[in-house]
Amino acid sequence: MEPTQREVDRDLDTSMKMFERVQLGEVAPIAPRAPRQVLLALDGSTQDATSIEITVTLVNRYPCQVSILAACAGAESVAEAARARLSGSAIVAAVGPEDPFDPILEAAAKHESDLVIAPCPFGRDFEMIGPDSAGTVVDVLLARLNRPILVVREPHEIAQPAFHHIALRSIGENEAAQAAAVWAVTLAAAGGSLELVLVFEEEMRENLSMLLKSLDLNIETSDDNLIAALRKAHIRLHRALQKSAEQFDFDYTLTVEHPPESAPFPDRSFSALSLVVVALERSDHMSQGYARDCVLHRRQPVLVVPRN
Amino acid sequence: MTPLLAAAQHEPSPPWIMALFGLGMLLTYVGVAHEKFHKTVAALVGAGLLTLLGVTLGVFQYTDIYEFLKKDLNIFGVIIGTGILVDVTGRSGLFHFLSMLIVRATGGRAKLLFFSICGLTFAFVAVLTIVPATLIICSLVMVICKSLNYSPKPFLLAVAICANSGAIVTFASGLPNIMIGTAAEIPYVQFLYISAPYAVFSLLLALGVLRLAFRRDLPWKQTDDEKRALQARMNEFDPWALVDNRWVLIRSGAILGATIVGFTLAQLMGLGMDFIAMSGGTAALFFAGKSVEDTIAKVNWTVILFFMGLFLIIGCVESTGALEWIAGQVVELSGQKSVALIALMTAFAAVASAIVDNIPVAATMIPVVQNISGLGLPVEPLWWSLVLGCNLGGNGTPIGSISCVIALYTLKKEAGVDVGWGEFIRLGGTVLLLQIATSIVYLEALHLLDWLPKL
Repeated sequence: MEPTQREVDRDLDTSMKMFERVQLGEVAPIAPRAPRQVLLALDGSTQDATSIEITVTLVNRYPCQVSILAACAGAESVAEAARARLSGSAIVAAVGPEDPFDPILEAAAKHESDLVIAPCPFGRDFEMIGPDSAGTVVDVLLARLNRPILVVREPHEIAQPAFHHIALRSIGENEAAQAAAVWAVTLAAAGGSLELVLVFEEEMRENLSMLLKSLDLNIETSDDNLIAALRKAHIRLHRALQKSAEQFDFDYTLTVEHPPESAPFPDRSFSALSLVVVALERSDHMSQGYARDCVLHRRQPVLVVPRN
Repeated sequence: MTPLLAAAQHEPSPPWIMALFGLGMLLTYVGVAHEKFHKTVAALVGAGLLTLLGVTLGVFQYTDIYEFLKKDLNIFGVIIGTGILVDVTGRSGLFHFLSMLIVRATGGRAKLLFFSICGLTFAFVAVLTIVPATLIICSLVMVICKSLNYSPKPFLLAVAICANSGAIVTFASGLPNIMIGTAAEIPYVQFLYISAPYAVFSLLLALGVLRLAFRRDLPWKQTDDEKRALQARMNEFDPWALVDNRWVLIRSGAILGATIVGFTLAQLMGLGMDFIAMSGGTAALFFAGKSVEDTIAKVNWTVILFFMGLFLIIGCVESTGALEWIAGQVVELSGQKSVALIALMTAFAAVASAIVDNIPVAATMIPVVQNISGLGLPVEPLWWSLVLGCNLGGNGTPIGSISCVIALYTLKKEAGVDVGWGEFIRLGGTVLLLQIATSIVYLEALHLLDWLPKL
């Protein structure tokens, strides 16, 4: 029984693209980059306990200087408790009358923090604001902060150990993907797992098809073709992460997500995933929207790694 | 002897009914072969009409059609199970990875590369069946030849021809084998020691002809500098980048391996091939995660419906006694001598398969051989005649086998090279003649030495 010409064309094309994209030469593994300065912003909400646990795990792995910021009235006692758990840490600033994002931005700049850990929604429990808003403070931080921010979204306990199962998510071609991958490798635990998720949205295909059509370019923009292009664009990153996984002893998987998960909360059980790392290319509105969407719709902590 | 066969032998229909049903089957095969009709639709239409005719003329009761299908149900199990397994294994990138790993190890040297591609084709077809294996190897050839600046024509023609040798290695290497193996109840291991050794020999024979035919088309001797440059280009290919997850790759390979072992032990365990295939498919689905629905959707329902139609047609015609009559004529033609019958059956199956799809050829010849068994001649060599003839016949023409169709299509589409019928027949026909002649000698020798196991 012969396949149809269309099936042969499709399978042949897919297979050729697979072989073509592995002509990539030598690729070096991604090396972890230990953070030296971490800013832990606390707001007295139920998210703080999770933020502190994450910070403790991080410090145990990479001894670094932690600056604790009690960014809301009422957070001082939590900040003291955090300092007691984090040896060598310091409380860096008192709460001022200004908007809470200003002291966080200032402290991050002043201490040259490699990572900011902040609760979301800021100063309020999740139940007060619901899943449709990240709150003004986090919105501003996502827009202005030029360094990675780990957003602790939900008052749930994190899966143990903290960085055991990491999903590194990137939508389309994303210039922040490499930087996000460095963080993912840095945080991935030996014996744990890292999944590179390349997100492909229907809207991407529609926009591209329309543009090519308007330019009278007869290029087939099927989902298969675009997914193959997405894979090709990330093949060096994939191979580098694969080599890192081998070197640092964690499991690694590449997945193309199509269509993207649309449920309000992920379909994966909470215990299966402990951290989402998302690449944010600020000049790309789709990337911005996707990073914000990840923060809103994920119950796991989300590390947003930006690139201006 | 099946109850149906027994019934047919006891109560043959009048000659005009036999002729009518024979004509119906022939017309259906014309429809199957004709480009204008979809093969499955042609088979289902033929089956529907012959069923109506059979019931109206009182040749059989309507409920008899369940008997026609019942004896071949296990084929559906094998097709579904292996289809799922091949899809899941393919998704893991295992075969793309292995093929690139092996090709990279050749360093791009023309001679090594050519023979590796031929060997890979043979091995992949044996494990994966002809269509997915040919697609993988053809795409690999195009990419590698483009990178190394080789003409893809010798490689793709070699793929087209070597694939047909791979198709006779095991019970599960192709649909004709599954049909013949199921009808004759040939254990999987018998394929490994009857048809597999000849498959290797037929490959070597083909390699000899191909090497001679392409003696001026490839740089068979290369200098050390050329070899170094080729090696550098091959080193740019990284097979591991084809793997999305290492454990999924290993797991897929393990399930596939376990299924093959299961096939070889099926008879010892008192299990059918369909059970082993479905177990392998189920194990693959168990780990398929989110892609379960996609994988089930990839099962080749077209083939299953085609077979349903085909088995009904064969059952209808068989119930008239027409196939028994044909069997008698075949035996008469051979002078009631097994030696002549083996040659006749092998040659007929090969020639017929070179012209039309080998599945209808196998489906038609199976009941003929079953009927010959009632005429006092040994049928074991005839089953193997069908296996070898139906598969190797594909080398005869550019449309004789799906591997030829895909390889020649790839060559035209991707390299703009057209291979005409004359050119292909000179190459493939030579290979076919040598293979059929030697396969007849092989089967005659096994038969005369009484080395063919009784079925």
